[in-house]
Amino acid sequence: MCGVSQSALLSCTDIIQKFPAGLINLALLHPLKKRFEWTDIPSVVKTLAEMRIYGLDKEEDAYEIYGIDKEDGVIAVIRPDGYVGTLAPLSAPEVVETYFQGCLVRV
Amino acid sequence: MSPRDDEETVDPILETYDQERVDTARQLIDFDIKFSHMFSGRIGSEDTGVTGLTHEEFLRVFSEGSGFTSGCGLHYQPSRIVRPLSESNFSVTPRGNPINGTLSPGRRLLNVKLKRYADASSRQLHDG
Repeated sequence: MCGVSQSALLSCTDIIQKFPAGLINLALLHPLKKRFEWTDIPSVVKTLAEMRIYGLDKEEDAYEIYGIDKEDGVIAVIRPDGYVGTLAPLSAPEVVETYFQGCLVRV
Repeated sequence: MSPRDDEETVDPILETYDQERVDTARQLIDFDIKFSHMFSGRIGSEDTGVTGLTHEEFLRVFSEGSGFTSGCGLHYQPSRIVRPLSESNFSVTPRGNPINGTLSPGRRLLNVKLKRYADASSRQLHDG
């Protein structure tokens, strides 16, 4: 995985772990342009999101539907009611932390 | 997850429920006024003196109405729990119409088909 997306991913796992376990679910979508192995995925990601690591389906391109460039990516925070809370570029995961600090409590 | 307060303070997150519903209700009322004017013939090209609608105007109003009927067109305003994109932060804005699924804060996330890496099975995002 390339630098920016790897560091964004690890920042997300950091943010998630600052809150009570199970409060925030992580799901990861990767366009799988280059083959990578299960062992390449950071283990913290596997702990948090083992069954929520996805690639693109043959029938539809999620990036096209969501309007996101595969080169850019995005971090999307989705509320429990299925609505988008906020979006952040991969280079700025702190936007996500600010969002969570505004509406969640670390007990 | 909210801490219990000893004083009578209002939970700002609970407040957002009210704010979002009231705002959506207002949008719906405003839309209904527009919609009923449309069918009573008051919307139209007044310059030519012809009361009628262009096809585009009708389509636009109709699709806005469908957004309400289906619940898929709801757009929540910025609040503590909806943070819009700020130009300085985002170098690329999602392209496309939110109705078709483009990500947009305050709008619902469209379900997409994905392939789960763990077992190569076809899954829907909303299932996971």
